[in-house]
Amino acid sequence: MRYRWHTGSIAWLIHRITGVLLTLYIFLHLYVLSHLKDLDSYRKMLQLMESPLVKLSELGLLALVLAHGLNGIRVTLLELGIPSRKQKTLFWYAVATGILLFVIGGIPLI
Amino acid sequence: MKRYIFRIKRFNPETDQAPYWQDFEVKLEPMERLLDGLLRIKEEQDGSLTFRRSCAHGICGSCAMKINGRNRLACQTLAKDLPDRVEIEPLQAYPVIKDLVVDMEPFFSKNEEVMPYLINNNPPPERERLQSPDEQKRLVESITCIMCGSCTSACPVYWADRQYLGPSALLKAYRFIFDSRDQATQERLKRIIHSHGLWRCHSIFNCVEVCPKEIDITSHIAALKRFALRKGLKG
Amino acid sequence: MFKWFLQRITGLILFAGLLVHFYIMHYSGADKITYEAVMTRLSSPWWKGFDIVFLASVIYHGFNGLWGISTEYIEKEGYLKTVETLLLVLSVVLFIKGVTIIL
Repeated sequence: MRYRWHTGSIAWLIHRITGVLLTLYIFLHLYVLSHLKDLDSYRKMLQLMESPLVKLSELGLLALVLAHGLNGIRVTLLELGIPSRKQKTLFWYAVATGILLFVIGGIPLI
Repeated sequence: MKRYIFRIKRFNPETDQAPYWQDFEVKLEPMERLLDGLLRIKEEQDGSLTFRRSCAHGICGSCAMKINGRNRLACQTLAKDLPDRVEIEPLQAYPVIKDLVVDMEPFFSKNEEVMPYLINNNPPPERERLQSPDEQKRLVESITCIMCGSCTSACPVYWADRQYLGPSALLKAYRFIFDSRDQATQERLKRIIHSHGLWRCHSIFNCVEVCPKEIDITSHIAALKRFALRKGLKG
Repeated sequence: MFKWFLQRITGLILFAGLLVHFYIMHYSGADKITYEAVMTRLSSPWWKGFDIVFLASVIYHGFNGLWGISTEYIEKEGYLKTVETLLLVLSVVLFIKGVTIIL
């Protein structure tokens, strides 16, 4: 079944996929935290965070969070009574905010 | 007159194992509709081509079909807005009966679930039950629904979850819940507040995109969500 | 309906909480994330409270989201019940695990 995609359905699909990935990330995050018991393990973690691969995945995580969070706010605003004809404008606002926050947040990550 | 290729998804359950595509060539004036093209094919080329149509003027909702990947009424689709090649399929997510004719029963049964009729137990007055203009204004958009089935067939949630009420039934629920004359609000709410009802709407806007009457369905559903929540919080 | 409402509320908590979290981890300066600084911060009851609210929100939001997706994509009642139970158990286990880390 092929059906033409548009702003609303693309936003929904991205929201779903990022949502599932972020939920899986809870496991990883708690796993890492549960191993931070003393100074040694903490230092090891900080060292690990210097590796390019981890930095790259942190950027990816930031992108997931921003995409999911900002679209979540968009959907909530629309459910609060903003008429549907504004949904595409809101989508582009969310994209612009997302890019801005990605740059602001991405710089200290690198 | 411009030449168009209509690529139509055909299926006859009595002879075909699976649906197949068939190309037809048809000439249309710019202001003729896609429906005129289908009628011309049926009259001049292949009488077995099957589709529904009745009023041909965007009121009956019979000729909803998927045109170039998007649900529309064939009678509201002008030739001048079409590309040279047009893909025409039956509405998706409903069982196909033949060619472009689908079984609308799953769609209508969703509407029945929300009791799409006025319920008022007061003795009927001598004249009609009156409403103020403001009370009517609240309903006027939702009343224009022609039950063509385009919205529910376009909804990604309905594609996955056939138990989902779908945009059309929720719009019907809105139409009666917000009707000042209706007295069955509690019962209606009960029928839409379940795990395959109101809360499955994720504001995807596919329904709004396709509605031939340009009803802002998603906003109506959002109003229902807020109303249901307020009722729920206050008891 | 409270699932839907809570999903929005926890979503907003998470957005605000993540801003705080991100600011502290990456913007507040290196001396704020030394082992000692983190341990002192985490031992304050205010932060423990923040973390528990945050943990509860994230687990609710994530698993309620997965639950919603399951009800849409899993048709068979039996499978759905199994997945629902699994999600519930997982979220409770994760929450307990998380609380033990925080405390």
